[in-house]
Amino acid sequence: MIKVEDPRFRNLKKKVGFFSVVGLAVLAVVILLIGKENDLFTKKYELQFTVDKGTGFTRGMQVKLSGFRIGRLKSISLNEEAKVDIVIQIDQKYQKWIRKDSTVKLVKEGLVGESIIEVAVGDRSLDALKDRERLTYVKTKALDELADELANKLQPVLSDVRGIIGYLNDPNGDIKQSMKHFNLLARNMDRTREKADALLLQAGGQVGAMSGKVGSVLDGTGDTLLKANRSISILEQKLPGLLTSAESSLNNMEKITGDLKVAEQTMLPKVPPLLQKSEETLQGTTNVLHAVQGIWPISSQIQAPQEKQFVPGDSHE
Amino acid sequence: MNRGAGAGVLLLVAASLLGGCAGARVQPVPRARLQAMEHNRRGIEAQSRGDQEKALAEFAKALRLQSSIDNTDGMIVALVNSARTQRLKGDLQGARDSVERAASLLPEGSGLASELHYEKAKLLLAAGDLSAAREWAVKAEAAEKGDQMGRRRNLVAALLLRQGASAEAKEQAEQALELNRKAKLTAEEANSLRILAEIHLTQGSGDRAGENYRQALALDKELGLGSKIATDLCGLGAVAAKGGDTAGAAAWYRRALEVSRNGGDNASAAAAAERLAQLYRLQGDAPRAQQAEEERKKLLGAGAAK
Repeated sequence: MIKVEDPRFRNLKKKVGFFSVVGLAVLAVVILLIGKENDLFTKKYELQFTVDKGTGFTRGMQVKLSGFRIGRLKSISLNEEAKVDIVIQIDQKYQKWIRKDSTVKLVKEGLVGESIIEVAVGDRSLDALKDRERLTYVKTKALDELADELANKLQPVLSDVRGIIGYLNDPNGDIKQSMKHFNLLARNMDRTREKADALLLQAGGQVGAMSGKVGSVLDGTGDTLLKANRSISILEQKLPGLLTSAESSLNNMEKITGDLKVAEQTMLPKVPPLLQKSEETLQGTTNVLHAVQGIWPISSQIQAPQEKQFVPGDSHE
Repeated sequence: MNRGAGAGVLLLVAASLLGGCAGARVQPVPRARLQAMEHNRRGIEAQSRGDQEKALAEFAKALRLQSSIDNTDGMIVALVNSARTQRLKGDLQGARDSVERAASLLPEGSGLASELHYEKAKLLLAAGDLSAAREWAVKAEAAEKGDQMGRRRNLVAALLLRQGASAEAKEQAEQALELNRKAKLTAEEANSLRILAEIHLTQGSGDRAGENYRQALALDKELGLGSKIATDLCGLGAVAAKGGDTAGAAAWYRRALEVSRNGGDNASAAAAAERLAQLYRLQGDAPRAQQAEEERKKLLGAGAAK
């Protein structure tokens, strides 16, 4: 009997076997890799902690230590005290870093990044935490809390500014009073000058009259003496008023100096802390802005500054 | 949409988002250089507002900062901007000093050469040295590597026209017009049209001159450039006057006068009033001529008071 055999089917069993083995090997490698990626083959242990609110915690979220992923959140449950018990699963190999004093907190990776649980490295002199032992949870500030804090910091600055403006505007305050005294002084000075002018005019008139009558001096010494007496009596009448005005002007000057000293003592100590606060606030704001500018997609929207920019040089001008 | 397609779309969205994260970050620029650029930007802004003192102060700060890090290109930019502002302010000596200093810093084959040569040409034109101005304008044209060729050519054309070479000027202005249209430099396109209109007017071709002035006027109105609108209106007045239409010419000059006066340019308004008075005299309208003359004196007085 003639046996016809298709050459393509020669060693078919061997070929099928070979491809099956290769396929299974690839499948095994893939499973191995996926398992490794998901820590399926890593030995783990569990730690727990309790928080007031479960907001921000999700099952499967990453647990990081010094920026490296060391485990995941395994479970969240509400306890009898209406608080939230959280269990995290950590790779056994990292157990040596997590000690009795290690803390745990919920943080965000960047301003708009995802939330992670961050475990702090503990003191090496203390024992490492064992399976099912408790970690201490440290509450972190949320963005709205930070904003509140910033607003609280700004509030005293603003109230100081308001205080200073109020101080400057107060009609009974040092500044307004000083201005009033200045005005009074200016008015008094005017009056004093007017009196002095009048006195000088009168004295001048008297001197003129006296010189005009030099010839008759010898004839009427009595008259001259009489006139001189009159001049002296006028002078005597005017001088006290002049002296009083001058004295009141000096008193006003003294008052102004006193007011200015008080103003200086009240205001000057307030200025350096005010400046310091403003500077700190500005620096903080600048830092936040820089951080926000560096975040994608905001960073991609910010245009790089141009160096070769010219004032438009119109050919017609 | 089936589940596979949905997953594909999700994967695509995720990939594009991650692509954004992985994108190259902007190379950080040294602080002094950033500050210098900011001062330069503020200077340009101040100049556009007409605050030349502030602009010069900002350019001086930019120059100091660029010098502190020995950034030659930045120094040249600050010096050219200073020179341009000084020239527009009327301080030609200061502008000359800035340009010469910038020229001493200019490396061979620098991309800034064209702008610097152009500014030097404008400076020489302001000083009345037309032949030297033309020489530098041609150099600016030769050094231009970007889209400013139309602007450079406009200056060459304007200088040629002033030197009486209207045929060459026309050729240059026509090329400039094409280049400016291509580069979408609308203000320069209007400048090209105005030069062409002037050329046509000198060659006695009133219709074409009028057409070019009208086109320039439309573009300048679009951009809201008051002084150029007044120039276009005066040009149209000149075209009408040359064609014997004194009434029409007077109307154009009246419009130019109003634009200049309301724009605060009393010198140009006074020039328009003078031309208006001449036209009224030609029409035999003595009272209106007298009125225009008084208006001119008033404008000159107001200008001097300023």
